[in-house]
Amino acid sequence: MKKNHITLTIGAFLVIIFGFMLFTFQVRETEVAIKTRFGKAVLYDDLYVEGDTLPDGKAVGDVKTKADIGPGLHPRLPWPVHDVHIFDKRIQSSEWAFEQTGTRNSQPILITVFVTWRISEAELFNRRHSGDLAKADDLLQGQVRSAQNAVIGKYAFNELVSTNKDELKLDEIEEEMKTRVAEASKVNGIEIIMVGIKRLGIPESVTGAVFERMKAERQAEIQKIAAEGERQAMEIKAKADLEANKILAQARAEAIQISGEAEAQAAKYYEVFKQNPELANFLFQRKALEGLLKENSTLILDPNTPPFNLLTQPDATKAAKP
Amino acid sequence: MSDEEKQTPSVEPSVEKAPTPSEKVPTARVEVMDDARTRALTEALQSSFKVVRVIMVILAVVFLGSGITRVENNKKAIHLQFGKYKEPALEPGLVWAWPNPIDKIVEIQTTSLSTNITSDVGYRTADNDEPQASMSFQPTYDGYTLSGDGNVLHIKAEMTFSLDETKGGAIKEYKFGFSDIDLFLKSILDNAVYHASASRSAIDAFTNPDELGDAIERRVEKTIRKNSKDLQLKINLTTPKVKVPEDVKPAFDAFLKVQQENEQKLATAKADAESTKLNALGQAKVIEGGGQTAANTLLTSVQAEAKAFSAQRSYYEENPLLFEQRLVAETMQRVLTNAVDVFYLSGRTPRIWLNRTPEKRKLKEGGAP
Repeated sequence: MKKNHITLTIGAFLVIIFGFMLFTFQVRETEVAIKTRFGKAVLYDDLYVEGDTLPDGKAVGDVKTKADIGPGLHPRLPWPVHDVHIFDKRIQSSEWAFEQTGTRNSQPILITVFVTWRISEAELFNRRHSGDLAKADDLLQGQVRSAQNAVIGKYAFNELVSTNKDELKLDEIEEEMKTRVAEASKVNGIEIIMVGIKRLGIPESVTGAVFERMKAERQAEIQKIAAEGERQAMEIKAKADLEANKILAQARAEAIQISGEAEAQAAKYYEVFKQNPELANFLFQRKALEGLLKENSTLILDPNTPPFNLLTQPDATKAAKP
Repeated sequence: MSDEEKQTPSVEPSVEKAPTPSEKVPTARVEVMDDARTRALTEALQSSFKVVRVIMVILAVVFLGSGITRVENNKKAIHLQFGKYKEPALEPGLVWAWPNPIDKIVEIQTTSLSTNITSDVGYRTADNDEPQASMSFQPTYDGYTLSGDGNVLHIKAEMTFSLDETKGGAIKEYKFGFSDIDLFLKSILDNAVYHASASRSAIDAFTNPDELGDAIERRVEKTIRKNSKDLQLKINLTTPKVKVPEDVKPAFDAFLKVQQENEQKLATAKADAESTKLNALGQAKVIEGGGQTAANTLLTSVQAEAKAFSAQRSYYEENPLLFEQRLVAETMQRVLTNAVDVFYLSGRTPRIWLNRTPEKRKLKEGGAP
């Protein structure tokens, strides 16, 4: 009886595993699946959530009917009732070869564009591409080529490359290409996330001329820079001189002001001299004379000038006495 | 009917009645199928069941044990149950989950991802890593990019990245969001290089690669956000390598030389200007100081004169003539003492008074005294 119990346990375990394999299927985090019943997709009711592409008249929280099955363990009936198709829902990057196209002003350019995309509706994707990513990639290539020719043809070369930010339309060009490709891909169950220019080139025949232009531009730039440098140096010097003169003028004005204030302060002392103007005048003159003849002077004097008068008029001092 | 099926009915009763090892059943009491063959088969089956049981236990242990995973210190792990992501991301250490196919633990290196993403579509040729000298560029062979002023340049950008560990969603998005994350990052790096070079002049890109690198990095971050809000990467972009075509390099070198000379000229002019300004400030201080000194001298002098005047007034008023003569004599003494030569005329013969201290002769520069 004990041995039967073990056998039954093993058997039950195997049946469970087999049942799981037969009646369930797993969808991984990187995948999306659809389930078909006798070849027709099984639809579910779900709610629109944040991040979903909302059709006209629908909002987040509204009921949507969908065939896509997300990650996890899901029930199924065995084949041929149910059939499960699993697809890679990760973001795919596609890019193609350098292709020539023309700008609005008929300038030939070479361009490489890359696209990031993912499956947005697995059921639609399965119907259009039989679930084959390579087929989808091929179809995208045509759509991207068509979009790039149409969009680039609307813009001038200086809107593709320019040092003037207002002139440059790169973001606008990429966005317009994305809109066109997204519109075309929507019916194939593909969501376009980004279309970007990966590389831009010019035909070989033009590059030689570009080299010559680059050389000429550098030469012109050299002359311009040298002259500009000279001008700037002179301007700096002139500015410095101006500033220096201004500083000196201010200092002189300051000195004059200080002197004036001192004169004004001195005026109160001059009041004293009014008490005897003759004496004041005599003292001022004496001071002036002394100041004038302070050093390195040569004097030519009359013999009557004191004290030389003593030499010619010995009695002069006595005579001068009262 | 197979051999096994044929044998089964005859084996099962013997298995049910098979004595346990502790029991010792006399051989004589076994009445049905007690031949040596049957006994041997029974024992063999018993042994087989024991082995199967042991194997099953071992398998069960191995099965459960295979769910143990060691998450390394520089990694995080994601727990998937029936393929579905289970929050939160698992920290380093020992973790256990039901073995595959129920659960799955996926480890992800979060720090210092070794992947180096390089954009060299605008740099290398089809055959060489470095750009080659050429009179013209063949687009499908030579790698170059266009600058904003319509010139051609070689630009190579390299970046590494790490995941923001704090964001569980970032780890999930990195692992499961992209079919080929390296290809995706390379494409957006190429796109960023094109955007950065197409919006600035060749000379700007050539002389200021750091600024070019910043623009590329900003564009890469913006594009990542545009593609996936959950993918939080810390981008580390090294300074891009920028070269001009070999054929135009001499012209660029000459330009850079003039630019450097110009910068030197400007630096000298600035230094001179600074010096002029500092000299002026010094002179201004001297002028202001001189003004202040003159003012002080004036005040002191006038004050002293006023005091002297007041002191002398009484003497003057007592005898003005004598006072004046005294002061004149004193003044003459001082004046004549300081004078170099004094001539006085006495009759027709001029007389000369030579000063007592002869004037020192100044030496001419470089000359003999």
